[in-house]
Amino acid sequence: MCLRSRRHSFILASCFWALLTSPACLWANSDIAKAIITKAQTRLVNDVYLLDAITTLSLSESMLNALDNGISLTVSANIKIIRPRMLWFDNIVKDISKQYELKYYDLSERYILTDLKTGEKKQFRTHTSALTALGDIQDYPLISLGALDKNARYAGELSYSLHINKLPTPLRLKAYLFKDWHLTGETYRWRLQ
Amino acid sequence: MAPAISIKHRGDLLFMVVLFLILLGSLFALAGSHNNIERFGDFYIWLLGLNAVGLLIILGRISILTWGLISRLRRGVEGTRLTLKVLVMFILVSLLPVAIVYAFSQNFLRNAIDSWFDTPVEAALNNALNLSRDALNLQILTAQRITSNLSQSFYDISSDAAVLLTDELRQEWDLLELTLLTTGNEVIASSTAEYMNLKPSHANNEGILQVRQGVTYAEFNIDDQTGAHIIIVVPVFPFSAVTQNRMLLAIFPYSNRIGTLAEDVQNSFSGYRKLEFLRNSLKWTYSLTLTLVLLFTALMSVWLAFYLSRRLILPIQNLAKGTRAVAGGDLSTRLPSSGRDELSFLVSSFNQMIQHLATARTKAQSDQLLIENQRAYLSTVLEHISSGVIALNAAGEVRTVNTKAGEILEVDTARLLHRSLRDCCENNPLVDQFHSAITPHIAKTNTSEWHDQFEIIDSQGKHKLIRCRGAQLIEKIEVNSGWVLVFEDVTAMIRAQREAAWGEVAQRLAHEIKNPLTPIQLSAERLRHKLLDKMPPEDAKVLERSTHTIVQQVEGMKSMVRAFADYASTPAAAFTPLSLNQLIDEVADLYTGMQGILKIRLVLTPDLPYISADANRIRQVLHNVIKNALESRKDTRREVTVTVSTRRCNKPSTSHQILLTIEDDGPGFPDDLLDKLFEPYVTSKAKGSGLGLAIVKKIIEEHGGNIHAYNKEGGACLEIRLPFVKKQTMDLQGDTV
Repeated sequence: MCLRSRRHSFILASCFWALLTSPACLWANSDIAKAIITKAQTRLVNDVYLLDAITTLSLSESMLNALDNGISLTVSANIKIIRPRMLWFDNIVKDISKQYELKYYDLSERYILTDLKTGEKKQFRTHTSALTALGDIQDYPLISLGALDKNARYAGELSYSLHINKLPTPLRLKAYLFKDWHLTGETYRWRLQ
Repeated sequence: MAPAISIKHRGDLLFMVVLFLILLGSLFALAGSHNNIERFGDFYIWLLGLNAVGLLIILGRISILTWGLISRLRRGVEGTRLTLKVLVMFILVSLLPVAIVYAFSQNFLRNAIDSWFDTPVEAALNNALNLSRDALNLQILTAQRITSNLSQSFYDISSDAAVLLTDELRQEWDLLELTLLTTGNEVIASSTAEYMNLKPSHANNEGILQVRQGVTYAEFNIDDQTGAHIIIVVPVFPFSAVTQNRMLLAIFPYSNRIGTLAEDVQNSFSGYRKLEFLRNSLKWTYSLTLTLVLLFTALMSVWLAFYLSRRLILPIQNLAKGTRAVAGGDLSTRLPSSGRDELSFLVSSFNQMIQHLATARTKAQSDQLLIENQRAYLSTVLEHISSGVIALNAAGEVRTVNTKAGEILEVDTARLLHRSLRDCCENNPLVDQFHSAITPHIAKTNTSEWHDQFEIIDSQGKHKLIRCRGAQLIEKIEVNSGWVLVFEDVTAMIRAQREAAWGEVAQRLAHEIKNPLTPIQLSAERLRHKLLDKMPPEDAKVLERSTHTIVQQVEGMKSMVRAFADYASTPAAAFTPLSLNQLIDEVADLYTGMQGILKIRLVLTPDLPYISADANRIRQVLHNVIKNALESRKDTRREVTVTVSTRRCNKPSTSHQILLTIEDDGPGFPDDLLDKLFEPYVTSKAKGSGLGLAIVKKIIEEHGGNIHAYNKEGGACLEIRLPFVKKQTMDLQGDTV
């Protein structure tokens, strides 16, 4: 194959890949899932930084519909401790992903929120209370003081995301392509103190 | 000629095979991702992307090939239309079944997925779930009632007593756990079964909230350790003003069997609903996978059609090119051969054929060259022999004729070629005579060789003696393929023989006559001297007259004998390049004082080439001819005018000669002597020896020329032709001299 055709194929492939990986821009829907972080802060307790954060999570109709039809949603709270740098990418000191599985239990008619790390389960009558519990992080130990440089400044970052890869296979392509399957929200950043 | 499969094409094939294998594997993984989520699920999107990119690459490749084909079609490249036909055929053969299978598969797929879902099954599952729910609710209600009853025992009881009571009641009611808590969720007393976690349970926020509002909280739970269980939290009424408000948390075990069944119902219902929810997505995903497979198959088929058509047509294209090259005369063409199929055999046969053609052509060229050489050799031989040669075919047409034959027959040889001798007779009397002479011989069929000698008369009336020899040509194809005639003009030879005989006679005659002449003369003079005085006058007169006559005649005979001797023994000539005009000027100067007797008029063409001649002999020729003119006059009082002219001969056969013409205004040659004018002892003069013109002819012939005499209006004319020397030859001779 000649260089010209290779280049041509590469451009086409790139366009296709861009369509696959950034579908949200094209199939926008007013009904979107949001993760609005209203508060996130750390406290130093016994030389350990503890995180307190409150996030208002709301799911799109598609997500709620899927949830009510037995599809489990895996949501993760992505927490990063970073050391900002002036002219270069920030140095990620610690990267934590708190993963929760939210599913509806038909028999008891309850929403069950499972901490995938600890296996701890909580039941809720409504998805709103389950999402409130999901967005409520209290006293979560982030990092010990000894792991940080005393002279440096650090910051914390918090964001929420839905794990599309954990969805059933037939739903994944749709989830990649449509925006109502993306948990949107700005990354919240605060200074570590 | 391009090789059957070039390196570029092999690279292309290898690339496409690798891409084919990658995409095939990717499609298998994509299909497997629907059934084996753990194995391929995480790569689903990547597999989709990989397939899309692969298909785009194949599409791009096909676009390039299509563009190339269109371009070749526009340019009218040979074999393109055939390639297009084969390509279309391949594509139709491959795509048509694929498209049909795809359409049926799509339909089957959708129907198959729809057939998974059935209304009665769904209703049954709903009923089963409701039944399970009712059973659970019944259990919960029972547990709530028991827990409410138990809570009355904990009203206004001390903490220590509560510890004992919880343990007692837990064992009595076979509970998993019984814990007394404050409404602030602090444990007052707790008792747990042995296999339970020793850590007492707490009510969750929802439970606390409900209890504070005086409502019982119930929760059904399943975990790996305890299995299915029911958690009940109730307020301990009435709330005391003295002690802390309390609530009682009781965990009831759920029947294992019922719990398992309920769990199964839950899973089945959940699975069914999930499947129903994903119905359209499943159709879409399976259709996408099937479409990718279709696209992959179709595009690969199209590419393969391009490849195979190219592969199939290439030998035919090569054959066409090779045939054209061979038609154009290029026999060095060799076609690349590969494989063992019929096309390869055809190519191999083509190469063999070209090889044989090339060998045959080389041999033909070699034979042609040989024939040309032989022809050139034969032509050279024929052109340089002194005999005329004419070859006649069976029809009597002239196949070969050499220049000498043309000279003898005084005809342009080009006019004779490929024509019958009979047809050439009309304007050529010599050819006519020649033809008449040979016809009786070549008409005979029983003789293969003959020879004859005959006379023909040339255009100037001279007799030519021709000696001719004929031989039958025998070739393989025909019995009698014609005749070859070899003939020569032997007139000069016969004349030379005659002259040689005359020279011999003259020499012997001179020798025999000259010897007795001196004694005869001396004897006569002696007789006269001895007897003249002694004889009577009359007798003396007779003696005087007789001896005088004897002496006179002896002198005459002596002079005749000298002439004979001169004719017979001519010294060898010394040839040098000579300007004929200059020599003529010199000779003419000798006669300038003879006004009234002889006048020489010169008409000389300037810048004539030199002749190779002995100046003295040519001078003798001029003197003899001029003298002959003087002696031939009858009226001695009349001045004789001799005109000497020179020019180049303009006939093609004599273009290498200079024509010297000497004419006088005398009575001319006697007609009866014209034929033998140059023979010795032929003279019309009373006192002539008859050797003058014979010597002239002899000298001219010694110089390679010829002489011709004839009478013109008012005088005689002699034409002498002498060959001139080419400049190159002259230079060489000059160097030698």
